[in-house]
Amino acid sequence: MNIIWQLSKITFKQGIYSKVLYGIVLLSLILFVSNLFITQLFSLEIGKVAIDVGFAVLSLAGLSIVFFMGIGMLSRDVHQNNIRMVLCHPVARWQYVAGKFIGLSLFILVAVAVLGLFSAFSLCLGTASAGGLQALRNFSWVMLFATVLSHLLALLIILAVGFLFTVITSSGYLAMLLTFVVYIIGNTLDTVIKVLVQGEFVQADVFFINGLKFLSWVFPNLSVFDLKVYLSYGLSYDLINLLWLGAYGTSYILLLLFLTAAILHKKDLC
Amino acid sequence: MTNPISFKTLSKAFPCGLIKKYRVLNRISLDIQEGEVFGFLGPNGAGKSTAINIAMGFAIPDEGNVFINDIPAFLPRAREFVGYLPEHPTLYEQLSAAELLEFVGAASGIAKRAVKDRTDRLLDRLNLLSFKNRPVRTYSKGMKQRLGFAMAMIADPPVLILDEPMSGLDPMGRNLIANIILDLKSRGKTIFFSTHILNDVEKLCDHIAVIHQGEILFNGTISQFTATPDNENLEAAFVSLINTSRVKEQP
Repeated sequence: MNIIWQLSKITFKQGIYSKVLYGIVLLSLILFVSNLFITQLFSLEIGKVAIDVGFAVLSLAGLSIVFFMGIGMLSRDVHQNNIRMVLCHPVARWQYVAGKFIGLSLFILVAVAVLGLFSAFSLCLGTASAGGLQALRNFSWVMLFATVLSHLLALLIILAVGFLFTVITSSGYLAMLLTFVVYIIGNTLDTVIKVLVQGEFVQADVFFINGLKFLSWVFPNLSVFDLKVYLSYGLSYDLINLLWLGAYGTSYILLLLFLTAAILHKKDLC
Repeated sequence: MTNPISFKTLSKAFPCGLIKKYRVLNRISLDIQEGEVFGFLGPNGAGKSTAINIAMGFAIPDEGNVFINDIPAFLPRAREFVGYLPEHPTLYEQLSAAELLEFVGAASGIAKRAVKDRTDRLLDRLNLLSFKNRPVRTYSKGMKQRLGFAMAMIADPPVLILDEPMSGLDPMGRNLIANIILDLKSRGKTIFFSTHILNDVEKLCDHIAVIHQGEILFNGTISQFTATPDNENLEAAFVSLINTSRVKEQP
């Protein structure tokens, strides 16, 4: 356990020292400030616009950290043999995977917490002209927290997908590209299936629909982690549903990490 | 008696295209005795680094195995006894030498206080103490090599595996490392290292093995290697052995 913690610590430190971080923080600041101006362009649903823009910035910054820092860092380790610096000590490969993932998760947690605060701040400022947070229907801080948390879980799933593709492929760019494809599929597949099954004028082959349904079991359903609609419209979200969402996300991450460790265990690192 | 390092009928092939495989090691066997400095020589592409990669658990053998104190090399606990220096140390460049050594010490199970003491002592010895808190990305190639050496020695392991330890070092750096190897030898450490620099071999090694195209051509002492009248020195003996094996390969 100590080895995993040491690896997490060093990974977190690498994240803090990374130059990518400065770029992401700067971009986020610019976008959050621009949120204040964007919301002024709308006369209706200012609260919804502020939430959408705020969470779009959070997603963009979070994904940048996952792709450029997380997958980039792991790719340098696996593809450029930096991993040997760790594995030449009494460290098992599964411990390496666990330590790296926990370290990067901690970093993303801190980043999302900071971005979440910025998001809440820009939400307060953005809605100030329309009477503050009261302009939002049934606004709840708990719901805002749950929405940020579900965003974090979705980012961690993408990070775990990135881990898997990094150990499967021989290039960091390929791993990033494949992870991005999974991100797109994960966000859209559920909607595509719903349209095909429930759409009034849609005629699709049963085999094709079943194929898509099968794929929806393989790929992560990232659209379910997007709770900002509930926040914007003041809709309630069951605690039980939230717990199921957490269990789904956590088990998906654990499965991906297990696969990553199993593949890395069999991989020649030379 | 248990040998610190044992290569037992070790074979390894790498894919070359879709179906074909290129054999890098062909059933090599070596036993490295406790307390000796063992030189592993061979021309480029002979299989030296692959053998070391298997000994460090980075690569998985197709046949046979490497044992460190009778423990299969792939198991993490085998590396409790080993310090390793790669030919080109790959380090986390944003971190400082102090942070890297702290991590490496903790990963090897050493108490924090002891790591701190050893860090200062080792960095001082390797002329890196004044750069202790600077990020590694600002280091020269030779400094990185010396830091890699410090990382290999931080846990004070009984066995050291060094892949081209003098690579990238200037004459001063080479002299420093050579003196450290001799000091480690006097303290009874077992050192296995690969090199191209035959002067270092003559100066440091008790025992050598020559590998070419995945096969061991010679395994013995330097005096046995240079025993024939034609081979007045190590370089002449080495070139002659490799050329002879090339002639034998041709139909």
